[in-house]
Amino acid sequence: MKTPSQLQSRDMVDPRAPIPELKRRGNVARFLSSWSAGIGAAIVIALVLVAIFAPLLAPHNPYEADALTDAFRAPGGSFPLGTDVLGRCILSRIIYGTRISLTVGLVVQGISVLLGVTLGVVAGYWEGFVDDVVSNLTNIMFGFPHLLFALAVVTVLGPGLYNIFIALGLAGWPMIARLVRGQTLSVKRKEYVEAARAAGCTDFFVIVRHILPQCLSPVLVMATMGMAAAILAEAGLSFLGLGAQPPAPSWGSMIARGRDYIWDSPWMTTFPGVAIFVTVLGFNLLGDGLRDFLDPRL
Amino acid sequence: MWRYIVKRVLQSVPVFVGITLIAFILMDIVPGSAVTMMMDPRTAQMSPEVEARLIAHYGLDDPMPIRYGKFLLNAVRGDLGFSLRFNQPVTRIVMERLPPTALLATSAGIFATLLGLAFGIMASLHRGKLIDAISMIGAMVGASMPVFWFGLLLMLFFSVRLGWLPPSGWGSGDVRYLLMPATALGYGFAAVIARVTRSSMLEVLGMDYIVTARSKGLGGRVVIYKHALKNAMIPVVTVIGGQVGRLLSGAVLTETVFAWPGLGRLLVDSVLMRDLPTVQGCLVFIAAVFVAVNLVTDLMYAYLDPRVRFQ
Repeated sequence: MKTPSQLQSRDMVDPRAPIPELKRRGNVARFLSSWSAGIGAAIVIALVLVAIFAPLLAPHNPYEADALTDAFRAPGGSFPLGTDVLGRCILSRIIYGTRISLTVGLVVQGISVLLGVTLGVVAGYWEGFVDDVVSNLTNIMFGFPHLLFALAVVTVLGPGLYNIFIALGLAGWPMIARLVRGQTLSVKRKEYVEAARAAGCTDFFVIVRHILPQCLSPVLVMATMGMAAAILAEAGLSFLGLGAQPPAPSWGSMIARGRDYIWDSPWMTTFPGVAIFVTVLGFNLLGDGLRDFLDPRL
Repeated sequence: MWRYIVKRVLQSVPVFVGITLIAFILMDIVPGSAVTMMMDPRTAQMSPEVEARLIAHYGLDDPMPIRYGKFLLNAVRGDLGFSLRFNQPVTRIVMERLPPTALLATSAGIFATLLGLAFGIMASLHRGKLIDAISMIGAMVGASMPVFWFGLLLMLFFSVRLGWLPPSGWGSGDVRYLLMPATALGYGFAAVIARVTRSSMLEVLGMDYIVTARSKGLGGRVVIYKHALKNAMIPVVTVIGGQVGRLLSGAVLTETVFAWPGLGRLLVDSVLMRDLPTVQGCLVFIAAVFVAVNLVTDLMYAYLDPRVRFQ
């Protein structure tokens, strides 16, 4: 409980006053001072830059090569990470592959967050029948391991990157829905929500103004970690031949193709794997850092 | 306790029915009938009369709810349908592939639990020290490493470079074949367990009753193992149960890397060959195992934490 004097002193601050620059910088500095958040943010920013400037960074065309002269080249010279079976530059393909992985992370989490937040808020806010339906659906979806659900969807829709978006997006929403539902249920009973309702605010206004902002930080943490999971899952599905189809430079399918030559040309499998590992690590570290920063209790 | 068990068992029934329903609907909306799916139009043609006869023979022209009812009834009885590709009942194919997967998943699970608990406990007892940092960096790496890539790295090192271990196959359960797949699959799982164990232990070690136990003169070991660990295990058990799905997903990839003749490999092959009854059968079977494991986890949870069962 706050004492009246504390409440008053807080209310005295003019909400329109600009946030002091010092404090804002303090927050960013505090966030980045945790080593995990710092490294994670650095990796993610670097990846975004690589994806945007891929044509400038890649030393070769990622799709074309001279298979007669360049195939199976060991790392070195004009091919820093070697070439694949068709003589394509592995470094260039990894650089272009960044675009695929980041797109997968963004689109899949976009779908999951949209579905999860909508269903979670609706279920938590109105309860009753809708809640029963959503909660049961969530429980059922928890019964499917993600990758297996994605496998089933891919069987129906056929392999391909767009189908992976749908498959992983549909698999990812239940975690977010469960979280948002719980949050909605608890916020809904707060006095300020009751006051807003009594003052005649519409349901829509209450949800957008009071409930969603309370869900923002846990959803942000979950979506960041979810990107790591989605990128990992896409790599796995592409490794199985069910994701991005050739000649797309997906890291997972690069490993699958290089696998047969692991005895003589291990660079075909090792380097794309390093790319997946660093990317997933970056998002995991960033998610960890965000969680520590936004919710110090955990 | 019995009331809780009955309630919890009944709760998992709708989940199981829902899973079979989703598996059924997904396979049902695939364009083309199950009969034409098996035919490659480039190599073989089927006359419409034959197709109609086959469809009638397999009961594929019944309305969907009836077909689903039959499917569910048969699944409960242990009949998962018939695979035209193998020309065998799906249940028999699944049972043949089960032992290798069960061996792989349990060894990986045991390996991960031992490793995860050991490092998690050590990290929590030496918070901020070198062993804590090593454990947590190791856990972060494990959580971010693609399981199939880690498997290939192990293969590259131990089979290609050193020649110590056989690179693939399951050798009918020979331990030398098991080492790499179980390590590859277990590492990511161990990482999760280590992290949860550490944070759970840290939380419990800060509780009043631990301080009390220490202040009344109990030795460090007794406090840690008798008072702290038992309570710290509660969230760990939940996480181990919840992560079994990850283990099953990982098994699909691990089996592909090491040519391990298990269920995961069967599932992937069936997806690629569009052998729908087998895909459906594998999905229902794996999901049923997953539901059962979650049920057991929850019951263990209730056993460990009396607060749950008296709610």
